[in-house]
This record gives sequence, structure tokens and C-alpha cells, in this order.
Amino acid sequence: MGLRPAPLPGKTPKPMIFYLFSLLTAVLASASALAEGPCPTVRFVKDEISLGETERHLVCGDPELPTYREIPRNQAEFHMRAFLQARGYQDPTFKVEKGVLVVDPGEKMRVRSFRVEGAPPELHPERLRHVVGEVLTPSLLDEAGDRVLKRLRAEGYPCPNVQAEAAWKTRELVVKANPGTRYKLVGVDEDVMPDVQHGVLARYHAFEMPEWYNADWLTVTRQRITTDALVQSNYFTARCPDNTNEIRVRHEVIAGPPRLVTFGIGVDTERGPGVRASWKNSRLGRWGSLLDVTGQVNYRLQEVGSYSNLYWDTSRWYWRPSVTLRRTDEPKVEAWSGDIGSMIGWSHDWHTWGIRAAAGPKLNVVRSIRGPGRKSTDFLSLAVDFRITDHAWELYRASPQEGFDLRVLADASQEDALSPFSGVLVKINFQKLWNLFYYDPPLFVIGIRGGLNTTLTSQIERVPTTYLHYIGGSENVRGFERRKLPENGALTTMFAGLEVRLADGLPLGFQPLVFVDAAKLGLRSIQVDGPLYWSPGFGIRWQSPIGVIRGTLARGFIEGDRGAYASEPGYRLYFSFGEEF
Amino acid sequence: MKRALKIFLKVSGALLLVLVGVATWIWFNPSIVVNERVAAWALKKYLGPELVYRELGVKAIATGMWAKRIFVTAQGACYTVDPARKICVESLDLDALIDLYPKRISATVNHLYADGGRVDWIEPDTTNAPPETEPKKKEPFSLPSLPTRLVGIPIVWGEVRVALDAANVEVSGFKIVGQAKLDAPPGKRMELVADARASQKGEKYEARLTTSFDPAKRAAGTLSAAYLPKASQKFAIDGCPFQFDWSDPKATTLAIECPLVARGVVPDKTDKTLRELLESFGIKFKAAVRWEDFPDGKVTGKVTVAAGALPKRLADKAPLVNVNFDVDFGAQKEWEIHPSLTAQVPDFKRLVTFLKPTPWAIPVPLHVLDGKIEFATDPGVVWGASGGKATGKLVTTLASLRQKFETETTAVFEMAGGKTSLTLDAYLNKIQLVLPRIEKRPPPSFFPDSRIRANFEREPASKGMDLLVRVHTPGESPILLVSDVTKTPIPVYVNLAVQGAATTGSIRLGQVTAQFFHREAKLTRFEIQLAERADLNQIRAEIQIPYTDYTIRILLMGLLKEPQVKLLSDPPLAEDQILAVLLFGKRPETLDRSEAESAGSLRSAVSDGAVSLASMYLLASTPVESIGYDPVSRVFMAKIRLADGTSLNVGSDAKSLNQVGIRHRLGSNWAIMTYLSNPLDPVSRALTAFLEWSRGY
Repeated sequence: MGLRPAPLPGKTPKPMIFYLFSLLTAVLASASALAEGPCPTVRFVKDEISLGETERHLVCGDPELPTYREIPRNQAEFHMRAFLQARGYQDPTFKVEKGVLVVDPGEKMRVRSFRVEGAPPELHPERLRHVVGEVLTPSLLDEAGDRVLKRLRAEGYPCPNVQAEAAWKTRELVVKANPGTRYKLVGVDEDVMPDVQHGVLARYHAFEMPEWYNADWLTVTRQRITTDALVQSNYFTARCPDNTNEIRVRHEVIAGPPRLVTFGIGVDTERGPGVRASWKNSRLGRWGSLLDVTGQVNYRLQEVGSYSNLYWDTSRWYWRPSVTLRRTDEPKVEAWSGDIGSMIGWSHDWHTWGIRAAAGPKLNVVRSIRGPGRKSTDFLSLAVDFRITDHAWELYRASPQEGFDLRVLADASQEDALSPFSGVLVKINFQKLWNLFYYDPPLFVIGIRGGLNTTLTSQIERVPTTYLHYIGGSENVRGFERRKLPENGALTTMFAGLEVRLADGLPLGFQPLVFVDAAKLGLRSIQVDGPLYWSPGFGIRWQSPIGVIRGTLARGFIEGDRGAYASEPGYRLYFSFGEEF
Repeated sequence: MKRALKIFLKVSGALLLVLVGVATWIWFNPSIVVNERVAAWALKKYLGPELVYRELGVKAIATGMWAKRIFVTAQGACYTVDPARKICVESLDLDALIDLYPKRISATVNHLYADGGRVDWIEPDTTNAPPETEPKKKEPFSLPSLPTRLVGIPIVWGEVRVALDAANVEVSGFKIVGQAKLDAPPGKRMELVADARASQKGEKYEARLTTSFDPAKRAAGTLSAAYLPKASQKFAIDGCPFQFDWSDPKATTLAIECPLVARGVVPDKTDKTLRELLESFGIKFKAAVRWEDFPDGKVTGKVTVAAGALPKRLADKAPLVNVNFDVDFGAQKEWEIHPSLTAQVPDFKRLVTFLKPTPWAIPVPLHVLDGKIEFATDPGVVWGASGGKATGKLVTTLASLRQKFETETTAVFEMAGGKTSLTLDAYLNKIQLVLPRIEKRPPPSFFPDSRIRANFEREPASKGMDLLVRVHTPGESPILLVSDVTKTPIPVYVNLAVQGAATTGSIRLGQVTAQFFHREAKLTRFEIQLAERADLNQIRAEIQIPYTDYTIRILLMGLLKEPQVKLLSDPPLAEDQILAVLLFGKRPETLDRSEAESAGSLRSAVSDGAVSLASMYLLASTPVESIGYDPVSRVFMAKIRLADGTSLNVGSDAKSLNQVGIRHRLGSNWAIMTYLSNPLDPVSRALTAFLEWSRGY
């Protein structure tokens, strides 16, 4: 630093000002290289590393505590070694210069190889990402161990034992796993809830018994109960018995008060700002029935409704009476509508998926103010709601990455049976997500979605406006305006989409995605004709602390004869909040 | 006949006269027969060709009727026993007077000077030679001395000076080179000055002996010797006065006293300050040994080594460490020693000061203590060739303004059957230590995590000594830990045994009052039972927290790493009510949803044994904002509020939590909620974010 270079032979020496400048630069550079330390007795040779208060006391001394006012240098070095290790500096060097402990933390070390010893083959540790390449710290060891533990508990091993260790010279991280016995779940011992019949929690089970223990499906069960607000908190505990491979788990609950009143103001991505209020009794009667009254008001929708899931025993059968009154103001339709329903529902879960089904009569009232269809329709229909959901879909609901969901909604009306028309409204929607290469966390998520919405009727002029279908917008083809196609509604719409999302790889949790959507329309039942509406696009997803924010830009194209459905394609920019795919 | 007889007599008489005359002539001229030629002939006849010399001078003169004087000089004389063994002398000068008077026949050596002596002597290796069938007859010990008779003629020695300029001796591979001078003035004690250097297998020995001795009785003088096991190491005594007495035919004694110098003993990599300390030890060595039937008979004696460390940079002259080692020993067929060792650090503070810049600095909070440390072996220690047992006691008497460190440690060192063991029993009689201030936030790792190592290969466990350390606190005098967490010191009772990598025993806390869950809580029980396997360590603890209407009891039990937590109250409350009260100071029915979820998560986590003691302490001592727990991964996370108003996550990273829903708590009853606004219709579904107020009842 600051050495004066000898002039090269045959070259004119540079002026003195150059050397002065060089010297000054070198001095400043070296001064900045010798970063200040946490106290006068300790100094870092490179970047300043911020120490916490306790850390500083143990390295520099605690001026407020005489016994700890001065820390011997060897002890300061010892503690500093631990503090640096926690930050990924595994091979620091220390020296003393003029009474100051000079710390060279060295380089942060990153894991080069990762393996799991003793794990069953189904664990696939090679799929665990964010271990190799990560900074080697004790926290990383904890995290790697926790992740192996989590996977083992989802593979039938409720009481595994894992231990992670690392060698920094070779940058290897090894998790030594002892999975223990693989257990079959044979029973659940449920907590007693006040005023509720024992056994009602079983209707939320996302598993069958006996079946291999899977802690993920226990989590899905917990999520279902929490979502329904049956209790304030619930959890499962497992104690592994000896000399058997059968296990019973304990389902413990904190019941909390059964009634919940909420009031909120917020933003609906489709309908703008609004207010919402609800009252819910989640433990109505001894069988844990549900009664919900909700009202919401926003620009596009004003709705008040109530429904109840009334159980008559601990089984999964229930009666669902409901009443709803709403006003909608969509681009093509403005209408008042209401319905009173009475459905019988049932659900069942197998090992990895479950079904929900409900069916029953519904008395509908529709008063159309604007848009196609009859202006006034009162009719009775038979409503069917059928849904098949993969447990993985439910498990990763907050961060979709795999699983499938298929839902069929049908409303059938028959002329002369308290209905002015005959028709069946069918809505079939599905989504399927793949975690490409099964990485954990996922690297790429591929999703397909599709839907068939059709009204089976020969009396199009009689059907209410709610029986007509539209496409456009983020829910099907993102290159077109929301629900702008066709002009007067269609009897059949069909759409499909493919999306590939880089789920992990960019900083700050940003996830870029590309997609292509396509849809077709038909003026007749179960028949599509006319052009193909399709839109490639790209976007970005961000998991914000309060929900998922997505922005997409898509270009709409129309392939084929536009016919009566002609519309000007263009670029469409959508922002959505909370929506997935 | 007669004539013939006469002739014969005359002739015989003449011959006799001639013979007498010749004899008389020879008698008075002995050099006629005692000369070089005769001597050469005689030497050749009796000593053979092995004796060679460059020059030989022999001269005899008659100094009286009976007195004959003989002068012998020789130059370059060598006697070769075999090619490996040769004795040479460059110059030999003998002047002797022989008194031939029949009744007092004797020889007096006026002087014997031998200069330029040289001995080359390689003794054949007899390691594999068959043992001698008949043991040698033992003679009383005496030093080799000048012969007092020669072929029955007594010899009186005058001045003798022998100078051995070079001796090269090899015995059983042991090479000795050196020189010596022997001076035996008439009527005085013999003087011997000898220097020798020896080496074997890279080890070197040096010795210098200056002594005057009476070959028949005793020797006294000074001895310097050095042992150099390596080029850089040296153990030496220098100018040590000694007395070696063999005048008593029944016992031979040796007394020696001298300073001992040890250099290069401290390994090169040793810290320079520690090296300074170790090398500053001044060692004095004193020995008194008595042999009966020297050298093979019974030997008894006493060796005393006294050492005091006096590093140069300590200004005063008081030693930093004193060590005194006494050995009474005796041996006949098997040796037996009675060692005693005392060591003392008379001023602990000076030791702290001295060690401060070293890697062995006394750590906080012990570094402020002052007092002394003493160690002494018990009397009656016996050690033999097959082993033995030694006991001793280490006493620390250290104190500072707020701390005390008074301990007694008994040590038992035993060696038997090739195994050595050391058992230490430490009694912590009066201990009071100040703990560092503990922030109310997750503490950092004070020690490097042993799971991260340079290599996976662990250092092989040393197969040396079996070490057992037991640590006890007397029942009436626990360790007192002074902490800012409690108003009074925390009493700690320990009863531990450490052997190898295993620590067993118990650690128990006495009753103490501390702020827990915003109340003056009483720790009525806290005991950790340590098992041989650390993962089987057990805990039993009870905390009592008084409230206006009830008292809550928190019981911790089971494995230390996953303690089971039981929540009880008097009068009885449900567990969720207890948690609500503990965490938020409310009844459960008054909790908002987030608080209820937090209480539920904590209950789930403690039921699962996923809350560590440290996390439990933090939850108890800081305001909690929220708690999350994923029972699948057993990831526990708590958000606590710090004094400066900021929040901090404790436990695992929040991203590891498998969140049930998207709910961001803003405060009591307020949250941002995100949920499907139209869940029944997947086509028109939309997500809604609401700033929501909720209340359960």
C-alpha cells in the first residue's frame, strides 16, 4: 500500500501529484479495509459484522457489570468464534495488534454436498433444495434436520430421530436419520369439547384408518377444522408405542368461544373496495353444526346470505339450508337474485384424496336489470355440488405447488316443476399442479386448468341471465377483458390454460411465470364453435406478508372466423391479490 | 687325584670368584641385566607382539647396597588386546626405587607419569551371550586404585599423574568419549578430573567429574552432567557438590545437591508466555542415597525437587508457582518410593495477570478472584514397580467483592496392571459467581457448535488415563449464582460425575423467585438428572405463579431436550385457560383469534415437547405477540416484543411454518385477512383482503 512504483525505463516519470494521489487512495482504501470493530479492543479486518448486545458484552466486556467489564482475549476469541460460526464463518483467524484483537472472519462457507444417511429410499433427499449452496451455519443444520424430520413424519415415521452435522473443510452436510418404526395409524383419541358430542372432529379427517401414518394429512385435518372455525385451535400429538407398528394419535383442541363476529373493510380484486360483516356459530348444538350469516357490499356485488351445516350425528352427512340475496353489476349483466336452498351433503376421504358432495332443491329468484335473458325468472332447481380434492392441494393451499381439484356444479330445472324453463346448468372446473422434479421447495410449478360451463336447454330465451356464460379475464383467458365475451352470453364456454412458474430462484420471493390460455364459446349446449380465443402471456407472483399478489400481461388472439363473437384483441394487464393460477 | 682335586678346586674357586665378581658387578650395575634389550625380550615373551612401542628406555642403577633405582621411559607405546580394544600412551615415565634388603623387600614408585593416553575399547556385545553358570563372587565396593603389591612385593606409590587424552569406549552400543586426569600426590587424596561424552540412539550424555578421593573410603567433589535427548533439549546439573562414601563395608552413601536445568522441554508451539512461565521454573535437586551391598543390594534414599516459577516480566521476586517434590525410596529386588508433592499458587491475582495475554487466560468471571491455590499429597503414598496409589488434596481459597470460590478437591492417582486412573472429587464448599446480564431476546450461541467440524473424522479418544471427576456441593452450601434475572442469588446444588464423554448425576436449583409471565413466580423445584447418554437427560421442575384468584403451577418433566409441560392451577382451570392467562393475562373467552391461535400453538408445541427451556424462558419473560407451531416438522416460532418496541422471531424461521391461512395480525382483535369471497363458485372466485375486526364470545 502506498508504495511508489519505480519509473519504467524509457518512460517519463509521472508527476509527483500522481503519487500523492495514489498514496492517498491507498491509505483510504486500507483504512476502509480495516473496518471498525464492535469496540476498541476488537476489530474486523474486512466487512463490519454486527454483533448483538449480549454478543458484544461477551467480546468487548460489559461496562455496567464490573465482573464482566473486561473479557480476556482468549475468551473473547472463543465467543467470537461461536458468533462467527453462527454467521457462516467457519475458519476465522485471530491476531493481536497493539492490544487489539484483529479478527479476520475469512469467507462464508457454503455447503457443497448434502446427503442423508439411514433414511428410507422414499425420502429422496436429493430433492431437498436450499441446502447445497447455502451458507453453512448451525441454523442450516437445524433446518436440514427439520426438513428431513418433516418428510419422515409424512412417510409413516411419527417418531424419527435425526442429527445433522457438517465438515467445513469439505463443505459437506450430513443428516443422520434414524426413522424408527413405521407405524400404521389405527385410531384417534379426541379431546372432549364442552357441549359437543364426542367424535364430531372425525368428519374432518383427511385420512382413512388403518393407514400409514402421515403427518401431512393430520395437518390438512387441522386446516379444515380451523377454516371452519369449529374450534380456535387444534392439534395432534403422537406417542410412539413399543413392540407394535400401530399407533393412535391424540387430537387435542382449544375450543374457544363458539360464536364469532367479524367486521372488515377491504379490497376485492374483482370487485373493488368493500365492506364485509359476518356472524358465525361454529358449534351449534351437540353435533357441532354451523350457522353462518354474512353480508358484503362492494361495487359489483351486494350480498347477504346465510347457510348452515346441520349434523344429526357424528357422521359426515349433513343438511345444508341456505338463503342468499344478492345484487350483481357485471359488465354484461346487472341483476338481483336470491335463492333458498336445502341440500343434503356428504363427504369422504381416502388416503390421498377426498370427495365432497351435496345435492338438494333450490328456489331461485332472478330479476335482470341489464343484459340478455329473461328479465324476471323464479324457478326451482335441483342443485348438485360435487368436488374431488387431492389432499396435497389442500395442504399447499397457501402456497400451491401440487395436487388437483375437480369441482362439478349443476343446477337442473324442469319446466312445469315450479320452473318456467327446462335446463341444466353445468359447471365443471379442474386444476392440476405439478411440482416439477418433486423438489422441496419446488423449483418449477406447472399447472393446467380448464373448465366446461354449459347450460343444457333448448329454451335459451327463457333461461335466466345467471344461466348464461362469459369468458375473459384472469379466471380463464387473460388476454381479454373480464367477462366481455360474448356480447349476449353463451350457452357453452370451454377453456384451458397452461402455466409454468419459477417458484423459487429469484430474490425477495418473486416468481416469474409464463402461460397460455385458450377458450371457445358456443351458442348451443355442449357445443363450441366460432373462433379460438387464446392468449399467451407472462407475469410475476409475489408472496407478500398479507397474501399473494400477481401481475400478468397477456396478448389476446382470435384464431378462425370471428363470426358473431368478433372482438378486438389486445394486451391486457391484470393485477390480482390472493388469486392463484 | 689330589692334584686333580686341587686343580678342580682352584678352577672352581676362580670361577666362583669370577661369578661372585660378575654378580657383584651386576648387583652394583643392574643396568647390565635391566636394560632395553632385556626388557624388550621380556615384554615380547610375556606380553607377545600385541605390545608395541616406538621407543623404550630402561635404566637401572644401584643407589646403595640394597637399593636399586629403575627408570623406565616409553614413547608411543600401545597394547592391543584385539583389533577393537587398544590402550596407548604417548609418553610413560616411571621412576621406582626397589629395596632388596631381604627383610624389607619393597618397591617405591617415586613417580609415574603417563601422558597422552588413549583408550579405544569396544566391548563385545554380550546381550545374547549365555548367562554365567556361576555367579561372580562379590567383592566389597571400592574404587579402582593403584596396586599395593606386585608379585608379593609391597609397593609404595609416590607421585602418580596419568593423563588420558582420549578415550573411546563402546559398551553395548553405548559410546563414550572423553578424557581424564588422575593426580595422586604422595600422602594426599587422589584427584581426578574426568570429562566424558556419550551417545546412544541419538541421545547424548555429557558429564564432568572433579573429585578428590580416597579409594578405600570416600570421594567428594563436584559433578556436572547433562542429558540431551534431542538437539534442542537438555536436562543438566551443573557443579553439584557430592559426597560418595564407601568406608562402611555394609553401606555406601551418596549425597548430592544441585540446581537442575531443563531446557527445550516446552514444545516449540507453546505460547510464548506459557513457555516463559514453564522455563522460568528454578529447580533445585537434592538426593541422599544409601546402598547396602553396593551396587546390587538394597537402596534407600530421598530425592527432593523444589521449583519456583519466577517469570522475568513479573516485577517482584515472589514466585508465581511453587512446587516441591519429595521422594523417599528404597529398592532391593523391586523398587518402592514414597513420593510427596506440594504445589502452591500463593497469589492467584498475579497468576491471572501473568496468564491474561495467553491462550490460558483465566476466564470471566473467575478472573477477578484473588487468593491462593494449594495442592499437597497425603502422607503414606507408596509406589512400586507394579504401580501404586497416591492421594492428594487441592484447595482453592479465592474471593472477590461479589464472588467466592472455595473448593476442596481430593485426587486419587492409581496405577496397577498397566492401567492408570485419576479420580477427582471436588467439593464446592463456598461458590458464588456473578452471571452475565441476560438480554430478553434469544441468546447467542456462547460456544461453537460441535456439529460443525473441520472434518468428519473425530479425534481418536486417548487411551491414556481413566479420568473420573466428581463434583459435589455440600447440602448446606449450594453454589450461588448472582443474576439480574432474580432478586436473590440462585442456589444450585450439583452432584455430578464426569467420566470420558459421559456426565451423570444431578443439577438442582433451590427455591428462587423471578419475574415469570409478568408475575413474581416461584421456582419451587428444578432438577436435571444427567444420564450417560445426553439425549436421555431428564428434567423435573415446578414453577408457581400466583394470581389474585388462583395459583398456576407449571410442571416440566421428562426428557430435557423435549420436556413435557403440565399446566395445573388451584382452583383448577382448563389447560387452555391457563395458557391464556399465562401468555396474555386474559381468560380464553376474551382472547382474540390470533391470541387464541397462539395459545393453541403453544399448547400444541408443549404437548409435543417442542419448546426448549430457553424458548420457554423467553416466552415467560417477554411480551408475546404471536406463536406458531407446525406439528409435522415440529417447527416452533414465537414473535416476542422487545423493550424498544420492535418484534423479534424466536425459534424457527417463519417460512418453515406451514401456515393454515393467510392472516396477518395487527393488534388485539385486528387483522388483515385474505380469503375467497365466493368459495362456492370456482369460476367467479376472487380473493379478498380485509382489514378485519373480530371477536369471539
